[in-house]
Amino acid sequence: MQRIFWFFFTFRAFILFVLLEIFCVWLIAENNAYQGAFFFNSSTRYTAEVLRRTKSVDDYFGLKQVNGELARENARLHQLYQQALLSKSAPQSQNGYRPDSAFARRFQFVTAKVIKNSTVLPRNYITLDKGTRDGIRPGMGVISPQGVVGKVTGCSEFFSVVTSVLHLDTKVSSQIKKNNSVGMVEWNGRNSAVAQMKFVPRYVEVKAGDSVVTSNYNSVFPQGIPVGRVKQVKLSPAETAYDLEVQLATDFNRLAYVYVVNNVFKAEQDSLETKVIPKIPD
Amino acid sequence: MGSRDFFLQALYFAVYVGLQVLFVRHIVLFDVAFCFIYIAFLLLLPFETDSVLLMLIALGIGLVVDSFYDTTGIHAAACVFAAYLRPWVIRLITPRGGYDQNLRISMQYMGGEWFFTYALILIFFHHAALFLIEASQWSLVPLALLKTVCSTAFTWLMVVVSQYLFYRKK
Repeated sequence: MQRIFWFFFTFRAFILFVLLEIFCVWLIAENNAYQGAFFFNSSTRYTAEVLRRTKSVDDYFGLKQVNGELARENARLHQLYQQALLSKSAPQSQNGYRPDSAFARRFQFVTAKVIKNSTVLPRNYITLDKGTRDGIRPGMGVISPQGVVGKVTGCSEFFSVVTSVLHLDTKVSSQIKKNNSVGMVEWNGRNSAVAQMKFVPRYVEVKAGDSVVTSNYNSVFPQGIPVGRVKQVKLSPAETAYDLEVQLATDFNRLAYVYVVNNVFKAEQDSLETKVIPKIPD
Repeated sequence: MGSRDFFLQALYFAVYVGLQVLFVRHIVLFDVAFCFIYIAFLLLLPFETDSVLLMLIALGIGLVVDSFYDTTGIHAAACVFAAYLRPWVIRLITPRGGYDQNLRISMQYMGGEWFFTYALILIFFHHAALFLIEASQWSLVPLALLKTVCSTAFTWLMVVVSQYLFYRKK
């Protein structure tokens, strides 16, 4: 018995080392496995408060750029509004299909400010200054005036953490705008301006410069939100699909304000889809 | 450890973590060279700190830094690893004639050469653990190694410079 105690005493440092490392590995695994199952992340009260306060200092230096972006977005929305006014009388589609008015208004937007952001890690997260109190829930999409940003992963009352598109596990269902062929945009952990698009079949025509937007097969983002532009088209003879490099529309290094997208029908759509299809990627 | 030492170390903890999460976090050179100056806190804890206590402190500082980087557990794992290695490294680079009594870990007490080696070894292992755990994919390992080498140089330089600036001989 004494020997056992002696053993534990002499190797106490090593035993504690192993135990602590197991604890850390458990934290890392847990953090990556489940949505919303976050510990010690930056939406935690104190961490987020520190981030918010220090962020307000360097906000002044970004004002000019933020103003420019808002002005551009205003112009774009103004144009869209004019188009919408004009096309209001025209039928919605050739077959006379009209979307239900509740369905057409299913996306609601919450404006939030970015208080923490990174682009140089393999798994980047963004912290926003709004949380469950403003109706943000894990699973909602996040977009910027420029394009897709990510998906909410964890929320506290006043803050939330977003898994950026610049994250090894993020997948965005997207399509080539001109011919509606659907693929999956992923990021390989290297260049923060370029993502990869997979599963676009080789029989469709794709050129560098084609725009890539979110597809209508996902419940997270509205359809047609810019993802980026095709930068490079690769097609190896043995493959059935293109290997596309996409220049991302969003400049992640300069994110300031974002919109959190709340799809009112997401729960309904997801539960119906999981009933019918075993697993659907978003 | 007297209560004065305890408060001094608590102050150092706050200063290094504050420096890390408020300022140094934003400094990344060429997307590969990170600076994790907070590791200096672990390096500079007194010689006689018990290895068990050392690892618990390392876990604590790691988790705090993790919460700001959203890398739950990764910094903590790397810090515990570095803390576990620390007594071994100190033993490995014992100067001729052993360590004197009442020495403190700093450049001023231990001399430049000893401190440079000591800091370099531990910073390298900390950064290697950090970036390899973070990579978690074979395809990203070369990038992780590049980050390790560049960041080790950067952090090491900052630690040495801070020693020159703040721990001068009185």
